Amino acid sequence: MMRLAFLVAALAGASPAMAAGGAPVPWWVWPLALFAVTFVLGAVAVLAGVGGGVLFVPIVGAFFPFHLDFVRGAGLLLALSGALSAAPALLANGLASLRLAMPAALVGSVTSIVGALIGLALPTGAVYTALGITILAIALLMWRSRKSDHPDVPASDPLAAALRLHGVYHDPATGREVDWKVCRTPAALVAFAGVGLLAGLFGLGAGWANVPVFNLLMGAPLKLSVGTSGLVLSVIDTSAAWIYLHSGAVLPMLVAPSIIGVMLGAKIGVRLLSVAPAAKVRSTVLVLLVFAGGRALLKGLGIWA
Amino acid sequence: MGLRPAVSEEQKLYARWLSVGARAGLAVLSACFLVYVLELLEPQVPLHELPALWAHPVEHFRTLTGAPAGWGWIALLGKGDYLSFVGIVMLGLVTLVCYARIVPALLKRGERLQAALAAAQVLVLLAAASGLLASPARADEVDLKRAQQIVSGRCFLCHGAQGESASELYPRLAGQNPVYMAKQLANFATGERKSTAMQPMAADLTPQERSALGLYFSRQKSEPHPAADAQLAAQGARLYADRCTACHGGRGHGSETLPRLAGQVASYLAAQLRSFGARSRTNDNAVMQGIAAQMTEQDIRAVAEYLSGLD
Repeated sequence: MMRLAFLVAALAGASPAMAAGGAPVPWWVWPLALFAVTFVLGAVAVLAGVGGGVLFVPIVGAFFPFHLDFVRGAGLLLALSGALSAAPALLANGLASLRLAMPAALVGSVTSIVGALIGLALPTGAVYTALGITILAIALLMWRSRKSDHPDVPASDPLAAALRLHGVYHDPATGREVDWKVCRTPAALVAFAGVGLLAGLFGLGAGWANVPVFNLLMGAPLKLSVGTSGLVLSVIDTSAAWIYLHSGAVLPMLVAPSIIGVMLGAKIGVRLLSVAPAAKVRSTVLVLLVFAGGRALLKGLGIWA
Repeated sequence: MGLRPAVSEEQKLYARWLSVGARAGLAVLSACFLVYVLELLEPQVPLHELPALWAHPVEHFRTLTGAPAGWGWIALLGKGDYLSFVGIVMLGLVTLVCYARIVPALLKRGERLQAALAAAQVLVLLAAASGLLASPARADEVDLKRAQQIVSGRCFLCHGAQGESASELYPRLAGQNPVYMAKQLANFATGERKSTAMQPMAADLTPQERSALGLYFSRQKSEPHPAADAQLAAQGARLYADRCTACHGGRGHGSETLPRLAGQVASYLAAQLRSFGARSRTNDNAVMQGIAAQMTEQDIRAVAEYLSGLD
């Protein structure tokens, strides 16, 4: 964590100074720095129980010299690559439900396209300001959020019943079969519309919002919510990523090192899971999010350009 | 342990196709990226120019690099940077293919509502992937038409309509780096860079107009101007390689914040070096005053002559 904080601080201090008239930084420094930062982000994200996609845009957008358009394009591809890689095993084991994901993904993908179009049309300063506010709100949500392993759902709502949003999965930790059903589906679909809009606007992964909506609002068990969240994210972010790609806001020089970095980092993160102090890592991530969100907000307002 | 609950057939099908598609996409992306960074295929945008370009909004980036929108990148698949798009597009298509694959499986099982949901999702993803949903013009997009009006109203008399100055007295602006140029206009306006001729010209320009002018001139092609004195230029080449390349680059193309010197009028370059040396030029002086003060008149003339002949 110290290494990440140091690197971020060094980049924050160094890049404007370099841009102001010092010797130009060779091009290869940036993909390497991006790889290093995303590697740490990938590990930290696993340890803190958040998606790398939600950390990437605020941190890289705030401290690297790339325009926010390209950072958001890369952020979407980064988040969806992680979700695509994890989803097959979760689906095959029943820890993600395609049936539960489908209506949420459909609503979210439509609004994520709208969000991407709005985000690419708005002036950069406005996007930075809105991103800063959103990231600070996400940090607050993550700090205050509760979780419920097996919420009590007395009965499915009519829409959930019509869509047959119920099932059974095998929990490998307890060795038991878990019956699940959900409620408040219409309200949840409205929430997913909002999640899609924010994902498209800011190029964020959406796990921070999908999990609470599935778990706390609809009453899906926590493990199923986490697994299904990734699947929904992959569809939402794919839809928005196409808009960024067709607008020219996808640069392979940002996308490839970030994806490789975050995936390798996540593998290390999984290995560290049993030894790392998860609560401390989570607190540090929250501080980092507040710092990056604050930086984006001040950048947007022209106070800390 | 009892039998595990069955996972539905369409979910298994989706998982299988997703697994293959995601792995293939990531493998292709990694391989293409290696081709790109190792420059096994020449990129459309030279790697060393990227840092001066990726700080711009995407519209601006596309204007500066000629990057295509929509599916236009297919025509550039022979270029290292656009080859990587194959892997990226595979990652973008995998979800669409998986959804399309489960529609018949759902219909076969009589799950009409779920099949309709999956079909609707295919349509949404197809609409996104088609490229028909083009992004509208950005509110802070650079207005090149406005730049053209300003050029034909006031700049062309000294700098030429395409930035090729008619007189040795005035700098050539064709191909100049846009951000650097916008900054110079701002400095002229505030008096940070002193010029009785340029101050009134720049005083009433808005930041958007300054950016637009920078972009306009950056897009004009810089004509080759062979050095008049080859011997002097050769002497200048050695001096330049020794003292200037670290910031201005091997070919004098500068960077986002540093000027393009290649092809510039020799007498203008010499005048600027003298101004830096005498500390009468007061902007962009952090490094240049010290360097120029150490140059003799012969050094100045030689470097200026060399740079004026570069493309």
